[in-house]
Amino acid sequence: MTFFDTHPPLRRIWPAITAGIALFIAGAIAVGGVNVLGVRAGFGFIPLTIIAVWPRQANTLLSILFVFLAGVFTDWATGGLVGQSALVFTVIWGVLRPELRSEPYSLVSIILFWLATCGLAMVLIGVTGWFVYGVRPDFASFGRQLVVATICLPLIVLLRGVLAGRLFATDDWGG
Amino acid sequence: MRHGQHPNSGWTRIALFAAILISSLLVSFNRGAMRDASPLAIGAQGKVAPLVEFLSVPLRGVEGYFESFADRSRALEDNKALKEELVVLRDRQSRYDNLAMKVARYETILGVDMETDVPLKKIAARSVGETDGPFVRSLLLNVGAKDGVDIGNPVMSVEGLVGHVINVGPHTSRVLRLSDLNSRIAVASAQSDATAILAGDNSRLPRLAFINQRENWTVGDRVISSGDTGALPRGLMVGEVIIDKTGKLRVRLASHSAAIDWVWVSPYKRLAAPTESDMEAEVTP
Repeated sequence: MTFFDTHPPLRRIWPAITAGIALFIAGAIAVGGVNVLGVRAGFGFIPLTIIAVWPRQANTLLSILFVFLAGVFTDWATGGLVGQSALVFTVIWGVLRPELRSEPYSLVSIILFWLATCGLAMVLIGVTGWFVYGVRPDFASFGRQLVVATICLPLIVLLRGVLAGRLFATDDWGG
Repeated sequence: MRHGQHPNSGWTRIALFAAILISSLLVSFNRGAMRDASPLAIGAQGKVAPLVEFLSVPLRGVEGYFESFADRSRALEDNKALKEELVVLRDRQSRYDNLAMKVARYETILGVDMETDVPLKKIAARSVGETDGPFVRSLLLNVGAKDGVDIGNPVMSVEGLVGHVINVGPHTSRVLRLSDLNSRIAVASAQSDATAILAGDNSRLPRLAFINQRENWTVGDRVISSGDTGALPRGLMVGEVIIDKTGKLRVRLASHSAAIDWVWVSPYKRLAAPTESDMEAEVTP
């Protein structure tokens, strides 16, 4: 299926609500981090793992609402620039639309979309931060957050599969 | 495949465009603005603190495991270094005791005010969240206004000054770390008393700006808070002076040597600027 496909799947409310709640929880987790062998790695990219595996058949309007609100909530919780996460989440969701991905989600699809998600997020965070503060971002921090989120991605994909199978008919999630 | 609402329908496009527009406007409002937290932001950080604290329990275990592993691997070297340090410190301790007695005698003779401006009361807190993003360096503490924490209070770890409180909720508070881009504190060299401003730039080594008496700053100088602006008390340990590749003076923060877990907040009252009535009272005999 492509972006302009004329036969889109049915849009359902519950996958959007479930993914939205997961994004809010991930936004709260983004406040934390882990310190291993003197290297501090934040969980700032964890919410992006949820965006990367967003249900294909989630209601679009509700998805946009959840993605935007969870972004603002993440900014408030982490003490970051208000609107930055909201912008990053909505742009990523809008550009890398879930219906563009393979059905069911294949490993290649997940990896490609994850790389695209991280690339887009780094550009958006870098540009908005530069616009507000006038300095370049700390690229090392990006790298550390990316590594931690990539390690967590298989777990998120697994959880998504479990939720899709247990709570809903797998077809409602599109894979 | 079932058919339904088209993903590119008019409403979807409008909603997506509106969300991006509002987000962009929110970001643009941050430019040049003070980093003041809205009640909604304070409420959000209050809500996430218990969850993050709960989730941090297994992470602390992982951190502790790696830390103990690293400690064991350098135990021999540490032991040797500590023995050498002990010899030096014993000598310094005896000199310090003599000096302390001498100072106490002078203070008694001169009748000076011995009260220091660093409050003795300390509020113990746990750092439940540490934001280490590309633009922000902050901590979320599990103490707030109900525990006596106020905006501007210095936050210390056992190593030294960590930062100061920038917003307070009833049970949580956010700390701006010294390395954050927006952090500016007045510091002094403990050796020469020359002053400067410690300016965070999101690196691990914040730079010294507006340096007074450049010739009196040398590599290895101990940097302390100068108390000049009245925002922080004088004498809080900040770090050590180093020179970077470009020849600029920077500070290796004492608090960056270990993971921030337990800290304490000093309920220091910021010096208030004199009001007009204060000045009139001074003039009127």
